[in-house]
Order: sequence, then structure tokens, then C-alpha cells
Amino acid sequence: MSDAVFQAATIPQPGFSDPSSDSQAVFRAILNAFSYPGRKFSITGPQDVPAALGSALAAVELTLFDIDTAVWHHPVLAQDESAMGYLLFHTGLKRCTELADADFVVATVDSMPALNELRTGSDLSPQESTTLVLDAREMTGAHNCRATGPGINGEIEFLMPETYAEFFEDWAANHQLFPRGVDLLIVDEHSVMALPRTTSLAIQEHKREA
Amino acid sequence: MSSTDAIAERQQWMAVLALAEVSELSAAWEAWEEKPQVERIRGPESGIVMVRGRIGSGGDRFNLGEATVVRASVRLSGGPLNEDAFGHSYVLGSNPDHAWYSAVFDGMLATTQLREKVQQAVIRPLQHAHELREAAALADAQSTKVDFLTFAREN
Repeated sequence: MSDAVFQAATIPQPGFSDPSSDSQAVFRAILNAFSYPGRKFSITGPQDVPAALGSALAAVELTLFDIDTAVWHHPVLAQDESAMGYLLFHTGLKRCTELADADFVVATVDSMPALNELRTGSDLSPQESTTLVLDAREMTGAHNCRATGPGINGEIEFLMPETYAEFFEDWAANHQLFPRGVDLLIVDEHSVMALPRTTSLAIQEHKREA
Repeated sequence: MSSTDAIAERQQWMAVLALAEVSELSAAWEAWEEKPQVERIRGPESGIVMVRGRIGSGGDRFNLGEATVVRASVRLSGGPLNEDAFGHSYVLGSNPDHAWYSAVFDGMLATTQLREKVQQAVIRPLQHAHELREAAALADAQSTKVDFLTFAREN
């Protein structure tokens, strides 16, 4: 009898060491991020994770995704057997290949789809929109931005990773769609930051990252 | 052996492990020489499953009720193993040790290297012990059977 019948192609690494507490801590950070746009909230994920995911993004996916969520991953991640095996084992998420079917879209700065390709919900059910999760570990550039809107006391300045050329135009158009629209969760090495559809962005000046 | 046969064999040893007493499993593990290293991948953790039955054993499905299940998944490496093994268990109840031992033995059984050895030393004795327990319970129940001499009966 062949072992191949039984053995997984790769055995996944463990997930959260204390799933209950750890996922609640990450969820709390994400909730804070959406409540206070433009501010970073730190998160801790498991240390031993597939490299394509990294600790923080793994923590976000383990916390937010389950058998009821349809997730589109950018091609490099989608083709990474180690990362996909890990996520499927620990979350049971539904993989989707069409952006229109996705509840969540996970992308990097250079694989981010245009905002108008994503689901914006309906007037009666605006929450049925897509949430865009941006893996900002590797930035090609950044913009100094000023954000205003609900959850922000006056205004806040933060560094927005550079994505695609028309992003700021599309973000303004997204804002006009309220209550419909998409929301953005930015994940870097150690933290999350969110831009809900209610946040307005203005570029202060263009800044090049080394 | 086809993969359907292989799966059936795995289901059979998983059942034996799930129906064993925890004390038997821990004794078997203690007695096992050359233990592999065990890393927890998931659990032991408990959850709930909906147990379903079929009306009249073949009709429509219905929800019988919820049952607590404890599960574990472990990675076995080193020791006697040539390559890493992935072991799983799902056990009725909430005893984390039961899930842990079952997953460890399942992992060893999943390798061609150790399968026969574990079948012989662990699974067959556990199965035998289970059959003895079942037989004792049956004999006990049978002893309470009342013969109604004045009524005609089917059996």
C-alpha cells in the first residue's frame, strides 16, 4: 500500500498556539483599525508560518477566514502550495478565482486589482461588499496622505503604500458610493491599519521609499 | 491495494483507536520503544458535530442531536521514521489525551514503515479488548431477558 494515498503533499505548520485568545486579540486589533482609520494597531501571529504569508498576514487570515468566506489570493500566493495548504487546513476557506465571487481579496502592492472590479454590496446590504486585504510588506513607494472622516479626530497623516496609478481617483469614486463601496485593510510585518469606505484621502506629497 | 481499500483500512483502525479506553492507549504508548517526536499541528480541541440518522435506516436524513467531539492533528518525525507523518483523530467526548494518543498512532499507521508493527502490537489487542467488553455487556443484558411462557413471541 502506497504512503502516497495517505500523506499530505506538505504537512502544514501549526496555527495559533491558543486559538481562542490569539484570534480574539487579532480580531480586536482589526476592529480597532476599522474604528480608527489611519492608525496602526500591532498584532502578533504564529512565528512558524509559510514564508509567502508571513506572521502578520497569516494571523489575519487565521482570524478572519473560515468555511463561509470566499477568498481570492493574488497569483504568487495562490500558487504557493505551502501557503494554500496551511490556510485550507486551518481555516477551510473557499478559494475563488473570480474577483466578483470574492468576499475577501488578498493582494500585494503590485497585484492589487482596481477597486471598481470588486463587489460593492447593495444599498440594502452594503456589507456584502468585498474587503481588500493589502500585504504591504514589500512597498515600491509610498505617499504621505491625509485622512479625514468618521473615526478620525479632525485629520490624521499616514504613509499609504503606492499601488496602481489611478488608486486615489478610484478611492474617491469608492467614497461617493456610500453606503456601497469596498474597505481596505493594510497588513505589514507587525500591524494592521484600515481604511473603511467612509474615509477620504488627500495626498500631501509623493515620497519615495529607498 | 486501491485507495478505496486503503481508506477503509484507515477508517477501521481509526475506529479501534476511538473506541479504546484512554488507559489502554497511554499504556500502549508507554510500552512503545523508539518513539517518534510529536509536534501538535492542531488541537487537541473540542467542538460539536451534528449527528444525523436516516428514518427507517434508509430514508430521509434527520438531525439526531449534537455530540461533543475532540480532535487532534500531529506531525511525527525522527525516531524510527524515514519521513514525517501526519496523524489525525476525531473522538466522541472531550478527552484531549484520547485524541492525542489516537492521532499519534494514526500517524504511525499511515506509514508503510510502521503500519504492520502497530497493527500487531496495538490495534489488534485494542480491538480484542473492545470485543471482550462488548461481549460482557451483551451477556449482562441477555441475563435480564425475561421469558414470557404464556405469550407467543417472535423470537
